[in-house]
Amino acid sequence: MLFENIAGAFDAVFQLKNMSLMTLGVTAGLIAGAIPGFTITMAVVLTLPFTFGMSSTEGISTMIGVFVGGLSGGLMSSVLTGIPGTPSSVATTFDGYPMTRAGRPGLALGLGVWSSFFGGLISAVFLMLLAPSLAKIGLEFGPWDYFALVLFALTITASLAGDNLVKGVIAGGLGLLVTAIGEDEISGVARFTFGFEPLRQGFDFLPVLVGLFAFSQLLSDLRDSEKAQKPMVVSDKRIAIEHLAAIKAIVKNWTTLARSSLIGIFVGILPGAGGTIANILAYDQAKKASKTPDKFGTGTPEGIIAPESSNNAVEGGALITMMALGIPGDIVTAVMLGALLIHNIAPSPTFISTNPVLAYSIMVSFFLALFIMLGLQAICLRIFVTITRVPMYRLATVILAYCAIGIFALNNIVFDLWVLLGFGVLGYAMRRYGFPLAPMILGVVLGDNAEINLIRALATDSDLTIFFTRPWSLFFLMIAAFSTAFPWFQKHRGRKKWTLFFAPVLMMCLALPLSMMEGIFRPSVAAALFLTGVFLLYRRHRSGWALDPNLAANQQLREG
Amino acid sequence: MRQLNHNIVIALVLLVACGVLFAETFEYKLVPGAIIGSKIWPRIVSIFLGGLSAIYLAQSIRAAREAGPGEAAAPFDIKAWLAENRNVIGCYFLYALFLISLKWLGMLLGGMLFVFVTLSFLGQNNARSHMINLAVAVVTIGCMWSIFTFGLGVILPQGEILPR
Repeated sequence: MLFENIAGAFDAVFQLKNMSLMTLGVTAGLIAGAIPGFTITMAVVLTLPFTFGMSSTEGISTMIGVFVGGLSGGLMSSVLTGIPGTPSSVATTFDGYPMTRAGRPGLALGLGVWSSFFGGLISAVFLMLLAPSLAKIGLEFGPWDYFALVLFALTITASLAGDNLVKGVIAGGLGLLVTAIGEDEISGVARFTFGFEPLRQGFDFLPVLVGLFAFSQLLSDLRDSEKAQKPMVVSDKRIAIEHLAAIKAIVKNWTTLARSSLIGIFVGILPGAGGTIANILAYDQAKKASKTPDKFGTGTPEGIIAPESSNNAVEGGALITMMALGIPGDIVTAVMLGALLIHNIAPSPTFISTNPVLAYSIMVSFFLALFIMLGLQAICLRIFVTITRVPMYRLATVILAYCAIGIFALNNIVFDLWVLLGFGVLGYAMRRYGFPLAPMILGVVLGDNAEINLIRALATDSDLTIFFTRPWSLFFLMIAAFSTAFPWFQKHRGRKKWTLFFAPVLMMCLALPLSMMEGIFRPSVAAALFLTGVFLLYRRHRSGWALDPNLAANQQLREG
Repeated sequence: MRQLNHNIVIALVLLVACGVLFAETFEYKLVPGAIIGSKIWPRIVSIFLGGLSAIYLAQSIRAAREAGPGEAAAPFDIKAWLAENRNVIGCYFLYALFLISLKWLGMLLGGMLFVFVTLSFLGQNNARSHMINLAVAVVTIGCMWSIFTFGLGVILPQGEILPR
């Protein structure tokens, strides 16, 4: 069955038109990802209007092309200029740029390209194997569990805002509010419209997204006149990627590649977390595991392999959660989810079984896009070098105008353009005053889902205690609570004694819902978790609740 | 203190907005046959946001109190703020003008004019730069307009100036 579906998907994706669109998508992604200030999310968002006239497979394949290209494109700028092209390639600059300055830009790029390729490949395999299994688990979910899962996704995204946790949750709440505006789909009652007729239709997803993310980002880039007028020139035009030397170095450091890819997949599966966290986490782990940690930061190959393989592996993981549960694994997959909704496809646990060709087309497109990326990297490098000669203000202004044309194409109404402007202003203000945008976008994407499931749950039974008596619902609510407390834990780790209880108590708490589940496997996991928690507590008790000074020092370093 | 003052103002604005939104939910009537009213979700969201805004306000006030007297004395300077955000405000204003003018100029002419004026506003003020800006405006908007009109079949606003 699996192979039949994969063969069917290959047949759908391997069409000349589709492959051409994917190639265009990868090229656009590589270039957009390479330009500092243009995030992958922005590139995917701006591609959306072009996909309206395409079939679902073509549209999604094109966007996956942009997605994969964008992830790899970030490394060009990181390696050649020392400025991360996207947040998910921040850690690549730590060793990529020193290697370039040491006279090996070709090797640095080669390491980045091939690590991205292998990281993506590993996660594509995981995507194909794990997504159907996770979807089967998703079939056990009732509306209570789904609502709790949405809450978990929102809290984990907000908790990534660190010290700004409250602002992160407020941003998530604002996203939910946006989806509440307009006519109620069930009863037709106008909500939060204040008598203003155009608001009855509610806000379309795309103008809100482009306004919040792309529009506000462009204007943030234009704020500083001097910076906006300067081109970001890369002087050396004749850089040749050293493929063979890079592959040899990767084979030599295969454990770093495997570890970082697995970190990427795991971070990707977590709703809301993404490449930004994965690349730094993988770099950190690679440094800790290395025999020569002192070489990190001076241009060591491991320092490029770790972040680049993990940030590409993230996307396979993020697609697993999106396709199996309908919950985006990160902000880019949130946009992809919105794109699928525009094409009248709603991912859910039944998505893979009811739309196998399309579902596997997404996986196959992801897989093929990696090969296209590999082939296009050298060509795009030259385009990137040329584009870096254009001042930012020219690029940004043209894209602002493009936003207007693209958004108008969605519904052919000018009101959408005003929505774009309004959310552009809101997005800019939020950026300026420290409100993270990711939770808001997740709120916008998941708001309807949350409302529908809550209403279904309440219509089935008005008893609210069901949220705490159903195992999956309780499981998600518990992780939501712990993820809310996570920023405090991170801040005080190694300094306050209560942080010693965090991990063991989390394990023991999670054991409760797992023990309530049917079968043998999950209760066994519950028992193992509980015993590990008890063991950790015992060990810490034996050591006299001593705090680890290294953890505090590390945290201080991060804060510094 | 400037940042802290902003936080207090934002928290207050959010609190008032949540109050207004919550009050609006009392206008929604239960449709005959409906089990759950349309007001449930908007109420949950407005109460949730209101609660968070209250926490945010409390945090901001506490942080303002804890700030040293030296920081507290820094006043909000509107001129400095305008100068700092000159480009952003200018771009928003020009974008709004572009949207208003769509009815008359249409997407093609309006878009070209928007790009040219915005580039001139943000870039250098000399003849060579203006010529490049004009070329960029005509070529990029012309290409995009052609792709959407002829390639994707989208009917973009035509305006009243150009013949239909």
